[in-house]
Amino acid sequence: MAQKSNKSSLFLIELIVGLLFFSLCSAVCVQLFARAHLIKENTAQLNKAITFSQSVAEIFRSAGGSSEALVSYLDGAVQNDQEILFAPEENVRLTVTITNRSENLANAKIQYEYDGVSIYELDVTSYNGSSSLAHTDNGEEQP
Amino acid sequence: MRIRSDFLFTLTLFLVLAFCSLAVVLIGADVYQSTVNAMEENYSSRTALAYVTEKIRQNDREGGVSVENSVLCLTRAYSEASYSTYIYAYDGYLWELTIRGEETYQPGEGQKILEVADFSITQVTDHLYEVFTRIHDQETRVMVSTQCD
Repeated sequence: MAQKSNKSSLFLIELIVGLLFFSLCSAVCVQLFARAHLIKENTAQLNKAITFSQSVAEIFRSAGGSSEALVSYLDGAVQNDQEILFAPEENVRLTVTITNRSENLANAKIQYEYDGVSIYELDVTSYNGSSSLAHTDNGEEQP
Repeated sequence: MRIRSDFLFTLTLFLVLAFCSLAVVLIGADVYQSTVNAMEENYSSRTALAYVTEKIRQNDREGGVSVENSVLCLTRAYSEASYSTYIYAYDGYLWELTIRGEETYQPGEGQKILEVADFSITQVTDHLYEVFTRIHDQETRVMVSTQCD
């Protein structure tokens, strides 16, 4: 009888040790899952930011660098001196800053902010002449 | 009696362990599935949009790009003959078809490019096109500017 009880206690101790080890492993796993979910959400937001910023850059180019034309395309956009502010969604703010404007060239910086944090920036140049070096852009993911 | 309660406690503990391990595996599977779905949707929509955008840029010459009833028409001349490439949505796919001149065509005669739930293209201004795709539930819109009319 005592031997049977001893066996049961040993199995219980083994189970408790196993459970402790499992708890530690599952805590690490759940943390990793949560981090993976967060990365997925951030990536989706970044993809959205890239697509939207590129669309705004294309509008800027087609309008020949005209900030007035850009404001008329972006419904609800507000122009403040050299800056155009636009909020396409809640928590999202897009800022287009005209950095340089000459007879044939117009440069702008497009900044996409989510929850007050800049997640993507894009430099766009619109050239209104006849050169083949028409447009360049250089997108940068913000750290 | 003590032996019975020991056995019950051990069994309960084992069941808790089994339930928790199952829950962790299910959470992991759910996270993995949602990540794969998001990646697939993103890949498909970006590929479709990049493909159409690139095609527009390749044919950005006078009279090279036009839109008729949400069908992108790209016209090019080879050895004094004119060829038209049509890019359109039909039967849940994005299709491409190149035919000579103004010949008529059936939508199913083209080549399947990518699976899309919906695709449309509209000309906003002389130099600006709006391309729209819907893949599963993800809707994406991009603007494409051209240099020539």
